[in-house]
Amino acid sequence: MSAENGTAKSETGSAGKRLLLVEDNAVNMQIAQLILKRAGFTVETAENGQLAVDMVSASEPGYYDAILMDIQMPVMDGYAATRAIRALHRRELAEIPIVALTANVFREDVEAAKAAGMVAHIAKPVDVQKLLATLCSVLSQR
Amino acid sequence: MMTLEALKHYGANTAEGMGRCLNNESFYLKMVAMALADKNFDRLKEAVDAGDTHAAFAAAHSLKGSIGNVALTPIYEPICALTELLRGKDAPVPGMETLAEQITAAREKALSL
Repeated sequence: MSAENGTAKSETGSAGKRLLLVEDNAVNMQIAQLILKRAGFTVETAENGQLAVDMVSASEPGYYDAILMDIQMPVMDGYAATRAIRALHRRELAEIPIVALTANVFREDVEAAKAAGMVAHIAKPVDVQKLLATLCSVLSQR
Repeated sequence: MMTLEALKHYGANTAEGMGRCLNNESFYLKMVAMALADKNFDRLKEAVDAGDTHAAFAAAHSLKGSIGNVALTPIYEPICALTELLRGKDAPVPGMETLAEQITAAREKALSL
């Protein structure tokens, strides 16, 4: 099965991969889910950083292949959630690739994402091809 | 009833929004309706009226993502301008009320489609 945009699962590296999508806005979440599921990913969601930390902490190593993390969220923002995940005792969980997915696109935002421990940065409004290419790149490095 | 044609006439970049929604028209229109119903529009207005630039920035920033994703250009452009204007500001700045009014007007026009 291919994504609507013709990108095969093999090209996106999505086969058998599970993502955690962390996003508080329903529109952004549903659009991202549509794109990711059509590309062949299994997607779980969390609507704030604290829920994401809880879900990752409770998971078995290898359950989540990567995390897409919004930055501005209630309860716990994406930077704090990333730092909390990076501080987890189980190294395999702490090292899950985390990609920022955010409308923050200034240089200092990209640097802040990196400083928090994120491995890549995708701007909103989302570019479908860039999203999938970035995920492919991140997942291929594992 | 809101249609793709009406949105196009309004000035939305429907090709971009539809592309992001994988050309699923009913899904795109549902996302547009959800984006226009976002409570951050009210929060933005309240924050601007109160001169709270941090709350206004947070609301505008949140709207930037969702309105941008559905490519409602007439709303997106003043939202981007307002986000840039308010970034890092601790006190009200000239122009923020005008941009907030433009956002409100553009949103109301979209809601009337």
